[in-house]
Amino acid sequence: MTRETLTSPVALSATHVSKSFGSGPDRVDVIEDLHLSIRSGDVTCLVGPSGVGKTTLLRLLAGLASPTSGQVSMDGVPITGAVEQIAVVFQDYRGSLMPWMKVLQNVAFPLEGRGVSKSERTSRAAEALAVVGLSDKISSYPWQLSGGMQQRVAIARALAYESPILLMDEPFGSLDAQTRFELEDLVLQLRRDFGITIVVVTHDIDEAVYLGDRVVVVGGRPSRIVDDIDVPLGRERDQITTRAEPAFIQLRSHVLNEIQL
Amino acid sequence: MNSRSYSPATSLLLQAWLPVSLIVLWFLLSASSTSAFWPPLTEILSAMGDWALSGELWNDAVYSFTNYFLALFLSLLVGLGFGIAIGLMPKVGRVLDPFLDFLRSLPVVVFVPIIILSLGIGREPKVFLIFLACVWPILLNAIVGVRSIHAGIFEASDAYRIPLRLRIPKVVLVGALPQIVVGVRLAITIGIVMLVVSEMYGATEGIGYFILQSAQRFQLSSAWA
Repeated sequence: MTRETLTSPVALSATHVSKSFGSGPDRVDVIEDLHLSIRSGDVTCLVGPSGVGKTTLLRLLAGLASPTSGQVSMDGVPITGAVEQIAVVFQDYRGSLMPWMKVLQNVAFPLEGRGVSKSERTSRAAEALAVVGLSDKISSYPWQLSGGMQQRVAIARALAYESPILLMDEPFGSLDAQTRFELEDLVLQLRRDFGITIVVVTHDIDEAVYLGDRVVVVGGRPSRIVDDIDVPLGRERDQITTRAEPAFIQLRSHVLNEIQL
Repeated sequence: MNSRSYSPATSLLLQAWLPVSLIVLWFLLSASSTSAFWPPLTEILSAMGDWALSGELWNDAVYSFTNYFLALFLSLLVGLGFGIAIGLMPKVGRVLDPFLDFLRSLPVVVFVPIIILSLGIGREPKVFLIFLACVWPILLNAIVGVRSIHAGIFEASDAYRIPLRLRIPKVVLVGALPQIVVGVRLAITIGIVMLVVSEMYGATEGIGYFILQSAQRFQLSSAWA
C-alpha cells in the first residue's frame, strides 16, 4: 500500500533523518534514517506504540529539535528552528497554556511576538475562539475550564497564528471518549474550512484511521516507517457511519497487526 | 470562603486584642520596675518622645531607611537579573550551584568589619552590607522560580517563537513570580536586621547607631525605645 506518486505538493519533508540522545555507551538511537513527506492539504496521522519516538519525530518536524543527521525541510527550505508556518498543539494542555493569562490573552499572545497590532490580535483571537466554540469563555482562566475546553483553547491559539501547517502531538490522549470525538471532528472541520495541512501523532489506531487521509505506521527501535497507507474513506467522515464501514474495520485490523509485529 | 465574615470593627478587635493586652501587661509589670535593665514602659515612651522631639528620630529614620530602600532596590535589580539568567540557562546553573550554595551559607555579619575596613564608615558600606544580605534570598528564589515553570510553557513559547523581549516579562517573570515574592519577603526581613547591624559598626547616625549609643551610655530606656 506504500505510495510513491504524490498527488499534492509536499509541504513538509524529512530526509534521512536520524535522532539519538546521549553519547558513548548511553547513546540511544530513537529514529534512524527516516524518510517522510507530508502532502499539503492532507491530514496525516503518525501512529505507533508508546515510546517509539513519535513525539521526537513531531518535534523534529516542528523545528523544536534538530536531527542528529539528515534534514527536515518545508517547501524545500531546511528547517533549523521553529517557523511561522507551523503551529503546534501539545499533548499536555495544562502545561502549554499560560495559567496567568486569560483564554483570550493566551490565544492572542503568539501574535504579539509577531508584531500584530493589539486590536487585530484581539479580533483574530476572538474569531479563532468562536471557531472552536469557546466565545463565552474568553475571559476565563485556562485552569477554570475542562480538559477538552483547554485543548480547544490550544487549538484556537494555533488557528489564530494562521499557519498553513498544524502539528498535533497526542492532542486528545487524556480526554474522555465523547470529548475526543467532538475534537476529532473539529480537526476535520479545520482541514475542510481552512485547508490547513495537519499532522497528528497518536497511539490510538481508531483515531488515526478516522482522522487520516493517510496513516503512517511508525515502529521498531530505532524507529522507522513500517507502512504508509492512503485511507480510502473519502474526506467526509462521521463518527458513527465511518467507524462502521468495512473499509474502516479492515484498515484498523491491518494497522493493529503491523503495530503488534 | 466558608468562614463567617466579620464587620470591620469586629475584625479589628479580633486582630488587636493580643498586641494590646501584651502592651498593657508590659505596662503593668514594668510600672514598678526598679531594675536598670527593665525600665518602666512610661520611661521608654518618654525617651522615645524626647528622641522624636529632638528631631533625631526623624533624621535617624530617614538616614536608615534611605540606605535600606536603596539596598533593597539594588538587590532586586541584581537578584532578579542574575536569577532569571541563571534559571534560564541550566548548564550555567549546574556550574554555579555549588558556589551559590557556599556563598549564601556564609553569614553576612562576618563581612561587616571587613567591609567597614575596606569601604570606610560612610553610607556606601552600609548600603552594600544590606544589599549583600538581601540579594541571596532574591537571587536563589528567582532561580528556583524560573526552574519551576512547566517545561511545556517554554516549549510552547519556542513553538510560537515568542521573542525574548516578550518572553522575559510575560512568561518567565510572571511564571516565577510566586517564588520571587517569597524571596523578596525574606529579603525585607533580613534587610531590617542588617540595617541595624550595619549601623552598629563605625556609624555616626541611624537607628542602629542610636540603639548602640544609648545602650553604651546606659540610657536603657532610650535603647528600648
